[in-house]
This record gives sequence, structure tokens and C-alpha cells, in this order.
Amino acid sequence: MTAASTTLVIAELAQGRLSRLTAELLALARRLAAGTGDTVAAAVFANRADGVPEELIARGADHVYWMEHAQLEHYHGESWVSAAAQLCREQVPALVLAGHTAAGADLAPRLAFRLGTAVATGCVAVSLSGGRPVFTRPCFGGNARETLSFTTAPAVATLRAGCCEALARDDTRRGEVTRVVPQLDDETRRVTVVERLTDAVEGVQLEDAQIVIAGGRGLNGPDGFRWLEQLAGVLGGAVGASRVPCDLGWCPRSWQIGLTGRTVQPELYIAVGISGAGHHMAGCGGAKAIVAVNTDRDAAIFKDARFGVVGDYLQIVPAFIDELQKLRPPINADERR
Amino acid sequence: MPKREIEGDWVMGWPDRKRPVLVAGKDSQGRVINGRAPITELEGLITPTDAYYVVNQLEVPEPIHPDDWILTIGGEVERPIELSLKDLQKLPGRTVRAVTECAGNDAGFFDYLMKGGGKPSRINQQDMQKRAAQREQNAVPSTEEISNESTTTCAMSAGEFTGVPLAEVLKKAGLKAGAVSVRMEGFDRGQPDLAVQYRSVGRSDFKLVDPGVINYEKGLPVEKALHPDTLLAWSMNGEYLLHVHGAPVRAIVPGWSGNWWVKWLQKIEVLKHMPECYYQKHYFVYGNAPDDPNKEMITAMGVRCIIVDPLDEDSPLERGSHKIRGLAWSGMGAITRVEVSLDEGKSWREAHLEEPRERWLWVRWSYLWEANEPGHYRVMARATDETGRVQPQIPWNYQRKHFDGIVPADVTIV
Amino acid sequence: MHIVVCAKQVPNPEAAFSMFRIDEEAKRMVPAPGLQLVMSPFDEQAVEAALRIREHHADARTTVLTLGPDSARNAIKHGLAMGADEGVLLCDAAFEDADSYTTAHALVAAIRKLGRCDLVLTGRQAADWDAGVVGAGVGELLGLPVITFAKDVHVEDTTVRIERVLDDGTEIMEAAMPALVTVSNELGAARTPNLRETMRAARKPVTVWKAADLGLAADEVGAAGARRVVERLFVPVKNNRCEFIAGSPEEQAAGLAQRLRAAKLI
Repeated sequence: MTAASTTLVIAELAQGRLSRLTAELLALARRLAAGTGDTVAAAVFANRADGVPEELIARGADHVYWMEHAQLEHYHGESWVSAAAQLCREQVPALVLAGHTAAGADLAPRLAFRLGTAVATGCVAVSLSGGRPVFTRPCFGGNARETLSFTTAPAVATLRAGCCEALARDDTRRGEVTRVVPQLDDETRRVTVVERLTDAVEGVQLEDAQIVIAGGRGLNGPDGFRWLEQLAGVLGGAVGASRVPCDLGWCPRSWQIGLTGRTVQPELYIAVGISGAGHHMAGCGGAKAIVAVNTDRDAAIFKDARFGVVGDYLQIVPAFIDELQKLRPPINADERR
Repeated sequence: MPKREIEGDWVMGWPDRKRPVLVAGKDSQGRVINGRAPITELEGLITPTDAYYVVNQLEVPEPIHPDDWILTIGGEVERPIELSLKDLQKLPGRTVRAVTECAGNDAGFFDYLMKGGGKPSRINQQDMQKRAAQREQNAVPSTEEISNESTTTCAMSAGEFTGVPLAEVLKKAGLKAGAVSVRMEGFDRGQPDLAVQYRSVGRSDFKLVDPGVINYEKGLPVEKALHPDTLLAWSMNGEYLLHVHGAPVRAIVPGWSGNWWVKWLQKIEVLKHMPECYYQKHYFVYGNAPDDPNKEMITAMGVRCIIVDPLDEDSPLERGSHKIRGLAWSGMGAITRVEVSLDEGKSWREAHLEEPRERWLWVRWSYLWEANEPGHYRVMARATDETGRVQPQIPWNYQRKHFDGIVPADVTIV
Repeated sequence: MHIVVCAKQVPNPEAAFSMFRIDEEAKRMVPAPGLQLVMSPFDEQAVEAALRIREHHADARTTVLTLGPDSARNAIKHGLAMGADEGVLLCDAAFEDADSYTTAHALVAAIRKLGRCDLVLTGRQAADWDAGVVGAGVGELLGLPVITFAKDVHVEDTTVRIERVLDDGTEIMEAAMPALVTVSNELGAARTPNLRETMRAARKPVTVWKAADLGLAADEVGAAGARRVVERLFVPVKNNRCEFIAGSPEEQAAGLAQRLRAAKLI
């Protein structure tokens, strides 16, 4: 049997805290390590990382590499790939896991090529087979699954949200923190970021929402999203979309859920005017329950839905909002009492 | 409206215009089970085979090898016979050029002309694909659901068919005196899909007779069966018939709607009465209501005329001269006149009929419109056939069969 | 300026998935006979990006580079009909069953052989395997700066300026050329070839190179050099029954609320 090896998780932060997906990756790495006695390491790229190494440990890391450099503050492909490659060359992990995000999906393939190995992107599961990691990922527009392994090491993968239940934060866990100052040469400055334009997110983040209401082509225009926002307000949910409304500019691109967008796994997913093509379902198939509202009874979405409503959303959504408000009076009505 | 750019495509490895394609509905294995002809994009008189409309009542059967195919002729004949395709081809052949049209073609225009509302579009791309999916589901929709659906258009095409007159085959078998009908049976077999029929009729608030599993069959009145242009055809548009169009042999019944053109023929039976075929007694009938006691089987088509250019979708048009173009045909004989109205039918002007004018084929017609005044126009066209029938001929009927009303094109001149 | 667009031919991703069969034994996707093969839509958008650049830079020349069987020539012809200038097809039995690595390896050898290249564009992922690896791999193997998921690509002098799609917005980035950019669907629809360009495309050259033409040995390309092992390929089984809620919109809304409450989902 080979000596214990290391799984390296590439951490991502959201508003200075661990992203939910990073916590899931740590839990996944812990689960894989459970049978083998492997070490779970995490790399965090940040100039300042107050409390983050501790949180990584509390969520499952044995060893945290704090990659400290001004150039690493925000995701910057050239710098992160270079820093991650340096760390991998020194620590020689057997497995590198990153989130399938705009950052992870950019970093992982490049890191794999730089290390002379291979990568599985957008995976939904990782398991061990004869000590080797095996990855399961959707392909063919989310309609099929393939499982892959690699002949080279380390195996690199990006995982979709919902790949594993995050561990509860345990502040009694102990681990080691190593500060590393990577050598970032001139080459990493070949690409410069001129400007970042972030969409303002009001209310709940899509990935964190327990209830997601998503709209598709069937909304027939941007105005339909106002109804979805109203419904989200009543339910305390977040609003997402399939690819078409984003491509047509009916809603911000960052709302896109699917193969080329975000992955959500809420308790309840309400799909309005969404046909349910495989590439969309790849981003929401992990929802506990799907409700579909569509004029087309034959829409594929009903194959995945627990409850289906065939009809015009412009009639059904307002009636549904009314129905919910009947039972749950508006909050300010309560306050007035 | 900016001039539509000609799209390019690779045809046989050469750059060419993108060819008009059938708007096809497919089954789960990708096989075409229905399709609309891209009628507004086609030129000439003969519809290319791969753009020819497809409508089936029962499931498309598994193909039969032409060497294994046998046609049985029996019933009220002197000598019941069995003919192979080769036998059939030894009889005196004949070629007929004719329009095939689904009885339910343009049914939605009945509702549009009666009640107004949304005008069905001839270039709607999705309807047929949707119907194929619905067919797989086999769920009966409510009348309300159906009323929101767009309906079949472009279920018409024209082809050149080669075969042998049915009369020759009957002569060989020896028709007995007193024969009334000739029952033609296909080897397509199944249970009529109620959902499809309800959709076709446009409502589902009545009970359909369920005949169980049947073969597709029609009892052709003997006079029509003996018409020299009524064929058993093995060839279409210069090549052997395709399976989807009824190979090895289908019936060609010029002037009568497509449900008479029995595909995948396997049996001919001469009868002394009219048979009670499901698709003749219960479906494909004229009637005022589902419980109308005097239902009547549908036979010859009315007088038809459609405008293929301009379409509503081409509007607005620039001021100047525009050629209004269209197709006209009739179930009873050649078209003798097409007239165009630009004032909601108050006055009619004669359009030019482009030769040739064949008895069963449609004719292309055109009218040069000097559109110098901006405004909204309802462009209308109506046809007259050689029997003197002027459209429309067929009144509304609850199954919405054989629509032949005048459908205006609504265009704005700017 | 020379732009190379790496494009892949895939079974039409718009076709119903029922048109595909999975051969679990051979671990292959078998498209139904007659299923159309098309240029992967993201790659089509990469061609579109190149053509948009040419609208501002008359000297820009675009090469469509494809690795695939002889039929992939049609994907190149499609690119040429859209307006690209020339095509290169990497076609060799040795290239078959390539993984992302061996594909990138062969594309890189071809780009080197093409000589000067200022910008490499490709789709964010191919619409069959959805991996999104080859583009970044080509960039890495060429030692170029890589920018992924572009919704906008502009060239000013020797700098490429990209609007890159993030999870929560976009970022504007700049790199000195040569560089590699992968294009995302946010770029917008690719143009439809018109008859005039299609006819012009017939006279545009398509070069075919085999592994030996690229100086590649058979054991470093295709399946032989692959680093990835496909363990399994399958269609996930769905055991779902949808409960349809009937009635007027009000009844449907009430029925839905009631069921969601009963299931403790709201």
C-alpha cells in the first residue's frame, strides 16, 4: 500500500469568508481521506485572510497553506495558477479539488496542464477505486454521465455545488497553518484586470437560497422577472434564470443556472417558463423538489418536477402570490399590531 | 422590412442556397412521423419528396421488402388474385400529377374566419414537432388546452405519381356486377390516437368511438375507384416511393383529400355495400355536431387558393410594385380563374394563371400590385374551377375538414 | 493579424437526446444515423468573435482549425461560409479517441506549424463532452496568457481587451498578444452564413494535416497518448412522477400552495 497522500482543496472566499462550495470540498476530501488516512490540505490565496485558515481547519482541513501575495487578493488566473503550481510541485498532492466556479473552471485545466496531468471539470461526485480517484461528471448537455480516472498525477477536478454536505464548523479541530509567499514572476502580470463590474445582489445569494424561483424563455420578456421577484420576496427566495433570458438580456447574466452558469441545490426550485433542457437541469437537478409552471404540458421539465402546473404564468404566479399572502400576512401588517 | 438575405448551405459539397426543409415531427428514435411542407419557400409545381408533407393516423408500420410484398385482391371479383410488385408493374402503367392535401389542412382558419382571434401562421415552425411529442404522451387534452394551440397548416403538397390504374387491377380480377365500393387496407395497424383526433377537431368535449386496434382502411366508391387517374402507385417524383409516403405501394385518389390515399397497401376488397370503416364513418366526416345523425363522409376537396407572397410576416412593405403570388387548386378539376381583392372583397381583379393548368395539379397565379398608397391592406384571393365552383365551397363542420375559405394576407404599405 | 479559431464538430446539440444511444460496453455515444453534425455552438461564437474583430481590423486573417474525422471538413466549411479565411483539418486515424490533452497537443503542433499567430480563440467548452479543457490547455502548452469565458473580445494595436464573465458580474481584462481566449455564450448569436459568403467559401483553402505532417509520433496523440481513462458512460435513471395540478389558475395556485405546505417545502 502506498504511503498516505494529500488531497489539496483550492479555497475560494465570498465576502471574506469561506464559500459554501469550499466547505463542501473540504467535507468531500475528508470523506475520501476517511478510509486511507490521507491528509486534507487547503490552499487559500489572499493578501489578508483574517480567520480564514482557522475556518478551513474547523471545516475539515488538516493543513492550510496561506498563499500570501498582493497579486492574489482577487482571482487572477495567471497568478493563482502560478502559485498553485508552485505549491503542488512542493507538496505533491495526489488529488487537487476546486469549485466549478468562474475561478475554479479557469484555474483547474490550466493547473493540470502546467503540472503535466489531467483534469475532470464540473464533476458531481468523486470516489476512490483501488486507491485512485474516479470522477463522475455530466456531459452531452447534462443528459449523460461519464466517470473518469487519470493515468497521471495529481488528478485535478472541479466540483459542482452540492457535491457533498459541508461539515458543521468544529472549532476544536486542530491543524497546521503554513504561510507561503509564492514567487510570482513578470509572466503572471501578462494579464491585467482593468475593471470589475459586479451585479448588485439584493437579498439571498442563489447558492445559499433554500427556495429558488427561476424563469425561462416562457416568460416572454424581462417584465416576467418582476413577478418572480415578487414571489421570491414572499417566499424569502432568490431569483435565477435559464440561459435564454440571460442571453437575451432579460435579466443579469449572473442569474444563469445550468451547465454554463451556476449550480444550485435548494429545498424548493420553482421553474417558470423553463423547458427543462439537460443543460439547465445540470444546474438545478440537485434541488429537493422542483415545481414547474409551463404552458406546454409536454415540456421536459415536468419529467423532473414533483408538482406541475400547466398554464399561463401571468395568471398562475399572481394567484399563487395571493394564495401565499392569504396565509402569511405581509410582515408590516404584523408590525402594525 | 429589410430584404431577406438568401441563406447559404453546402449541398453535395457545393455552396448553394439553403434548401427549404420539411418541418418535421419525429418519434423517439428520430424517425419522421409527420411534417409540414415549407410551402411558402418552394418554387414550381412539384413538391420535392423530402419536403412533402407527412400525416399519419396510425403508427408508421415497419417496412416490408418490396420482394416480400403481396397485394391481395378479393371480395366481389371473378378471380381473387395476389399480385407482387413485379406483377403490378406488368400492368399498363400511368403517371398522374396531383395535389395531396390533408383533410384537416388549415382547419384553424375556420375558427379564425368565424371568431377572429389569432391568425394561424403558415411559417410557424414548432407545431409539428410539438404534435409528435404530444403523440408520444397520448394524453387527451381539454378543449380549452386545444383552443390555445396553433393548428396544422402546410399539410399540402403536389407530386408526380407513377403506378397502375386501380381499374386495371380490378379488371384483371374481374369486377362482379353490383359492386359498390372498393375497400383499400394498409398494413399500418394500431389504435386510433384519441388525443390526435381531438386536437385535429379542435375540441375534446365529446366522446369518440373507440374501434380498438384496426388496420387503416377506406372504402372507395366504385365510380372513383374506376376513374383512370385513381392509381396504385409505387413511384413518386421520379423515384420509388419512400417508406414514409407508403412504400411499396399507396393509393392515389386525385381530388380527394389525403385520408383516401391509403398508404402501405396490402389488401383490396370489392364490396356490394359501403363498409363501415372507422376513418369514414366516425372520423373524416362532415357534420354539424358530434351527435349529428346525418354525418356524411368527406370526399372531394373544395376550391382552394392561398397567397404565398406576401405573408403577414413580410409586412411592412415598401411602396411600389409587388407581385402577389399564390397557388390555387380544386378537388373537382382544373382552376379556370383566380381573382384578387385589395378592398376587403368589394371588388375583384383577375390574376394571371401561370401555365400549365392541369386537372389535378395546382396552378401558380400572380398579380402585379402597384401599391402606391401607404396604409393597411387585406390582400384576398379566390379561385374558380372548371366546374364553375367559386370558393368557398365547404361550410364549417365540427371536425373542421376541407377548409377552403378565403384567407387574407394583412400587409402594411409604408 | 492572424487569428486561429479552434473549433470542433459535434452531433447537433439541439437534437433531442433520444437521438443518441449510449454504448455502455464501448463507452461511446452513438448518434442516430442521419443526425446532423455541426460546429459546436460555442466554437461558432468564437468564429463570430474573430469576424467581429476583423470588422475593425481589415488585415485580420482567420484560420479555422479542427481536429476530427473527414466529416469535420464540413465544420470548417461552415466557418469559412461564416466568413473565416482558411481552414486546417487535423485528420489521422492516430488522432482518434483523443482526450483533452492529446487534442490540445495536436492543435498546438498545428498552430506552431501555421507560424505567426496573434490570437487563438475557441469556445468555452465543446457541446458534446462539456469539459472546457482543451482551450486552456492549448494556451498553457503554447505558453500564452489565457483568458476564459469572454463575452466580448476587442483588439487594439497589440493588446486584446476582454470582458470576462464572472459568477457575479464581469471583469475587463487586457493582455498583450499573442494570447488565448475562450468565448462564452454571452458573446451573442453567431451569424448565419449567407449565400454570397458560402459561395466565396468554396474557393477558400482547406489544408489537411496528418500526425506525421505535424512531426507527432503516433504514440503521443489520440488514444495512445491520452491521460484520461473513461471508466463508464451512462444515462442517469430518473424515477420521477410529476403530479399535475388541474383547475382554474386560482385553483391551481391554491392546490400548489397546499401541497407545498403539506410537504413542508414552504
